[in-house]
Amino acid sequence: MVKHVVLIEDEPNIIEAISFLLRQDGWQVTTHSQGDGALEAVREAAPDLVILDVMLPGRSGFEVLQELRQDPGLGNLPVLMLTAKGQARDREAAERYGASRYMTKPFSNSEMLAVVRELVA
Amino acid sequence: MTRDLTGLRIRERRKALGLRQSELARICGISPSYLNLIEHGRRPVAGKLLLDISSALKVDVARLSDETDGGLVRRLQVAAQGNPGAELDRVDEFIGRFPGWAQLIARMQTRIDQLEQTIEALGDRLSQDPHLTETIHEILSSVTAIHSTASILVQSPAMETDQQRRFQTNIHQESARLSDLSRALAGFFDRLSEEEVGHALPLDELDAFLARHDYHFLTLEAGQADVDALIGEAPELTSRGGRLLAREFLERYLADANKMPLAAFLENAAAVAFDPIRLAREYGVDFSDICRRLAFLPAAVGVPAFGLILCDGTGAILLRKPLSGFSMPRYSPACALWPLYQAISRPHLSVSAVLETPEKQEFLAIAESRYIDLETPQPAVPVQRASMLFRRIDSGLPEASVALPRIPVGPSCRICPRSGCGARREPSIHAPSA
Repeated sequence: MVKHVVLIEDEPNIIEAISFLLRQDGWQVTTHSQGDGALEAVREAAPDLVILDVMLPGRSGFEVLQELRQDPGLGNLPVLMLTAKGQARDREAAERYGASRYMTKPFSNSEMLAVVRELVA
Repeated sequence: MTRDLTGLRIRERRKALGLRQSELARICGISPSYLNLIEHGRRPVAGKLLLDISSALKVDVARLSDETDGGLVRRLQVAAQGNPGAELDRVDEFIGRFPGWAQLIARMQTRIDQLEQTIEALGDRLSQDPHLTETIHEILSSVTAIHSTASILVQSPAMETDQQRRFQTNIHQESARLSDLSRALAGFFDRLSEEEVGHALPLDELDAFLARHDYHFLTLEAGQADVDALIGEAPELTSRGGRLLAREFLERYLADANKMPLAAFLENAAAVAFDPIRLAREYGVDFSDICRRLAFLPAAVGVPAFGLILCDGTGAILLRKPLSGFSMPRYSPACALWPLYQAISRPHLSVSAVLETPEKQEFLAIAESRYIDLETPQPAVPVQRASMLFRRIDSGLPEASVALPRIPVGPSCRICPRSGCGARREPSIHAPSA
């Protein structure tokens, strides 16, 4: 069965690269490029995994994550957080709000693939 | 119990020179028993007698008396903090025997304080500057896109030509963005090193600038100099912030001078014994305007020397003119008992008091705080500006001050020798050992 991932990220060139990478790896990819409406996009797609950037226009990735975790249907969904800040503060926030994994930019493609495979295994 | 440090220092210096008490007393034209009282802190010494003593002891008067901003003793005490090897109980002896070394340590301590402030400010700037944070975030995003895309191009040889073209275009776009971003980042650090590194804070620069001009600008008042020239030729004003503060100060000074021309002001002030409240009423200006005018008068016979401190409702210092003998901490919070802070809690009412320092010097202080009109933000938030003007009480209390409350103030808590003060924030380094 094809696994489904929702990628929530606002950088168009990152969206294109990650989408290509994941599709090549056999994933079905849905993208959403802002914080607003992210929850609805996830609910509608009902994916196996969410990749969520921290810095999003409209509403931060942390806020989206909090809402996801409070949603009864989506509370257990694996979420990989992406951030362009390696600060301990962001990592702690990600853990506190219930991210499954946390990855700092820039990351290597093989790293990204390894983590997403592991999260839905 | 506090000691009169001036007396002790006179004694140490005299002994270091091998002078007998009677000899020094004779040179200064006082009785040996009176000198003995001075040396033991039972009689205050100031003015001409202190000058005579200092010249007989061949030492600068500032080294004998407790100078402004904490004084030599206090600054040495601060320097000795955390260094248990320093003989704190013999600090007066040290100053008496090695005045030059003592000054050097005090100056180094001041420099250390300044540099710590600069480091802290730079640290804040690096961790909190929104522009820097944003730029680094964008650089990392751009690098991520390039890294990921380039890896795909290398590792997927069988890619469709269209897709390949798109990825190449993306890399091209991102590399152009990255080069702009790196230029912006380099520019940020260039500006940082030009503007901030190695210099004191803007308020320190203003202090140094005002001190060099003895806190008045007669040429400016007389129309013989202008603000730009004064700022342009000031070696102390090295940062943009420092120049900005100096400009604000000088423009305000000029406005005060125009409202209250010097010659008439001196006459009017003398007629009311330099009472700021009566002067404010006569001139129809704010209390703070009068305070500035009085504090920044040229030194002259019959004109009392005033100290001044202006702050906002948070207590943050906006302007200061130190006065010999009155401790105004530069970097640490001041004495909570100052009338300045009572004034902030009761805006538009003036608060007067006689302030007594641990060295038994007395100062007449008057403070008032007002709400000021702000253009921004809107809707307006009430913001206060408080002023405290003070002068030394040399010979007995003026009649009008007899009924005033007497407040035992001190320097910053850390170095304040007073015991049993309910306003204390932290233990003193003078705390009696257990």
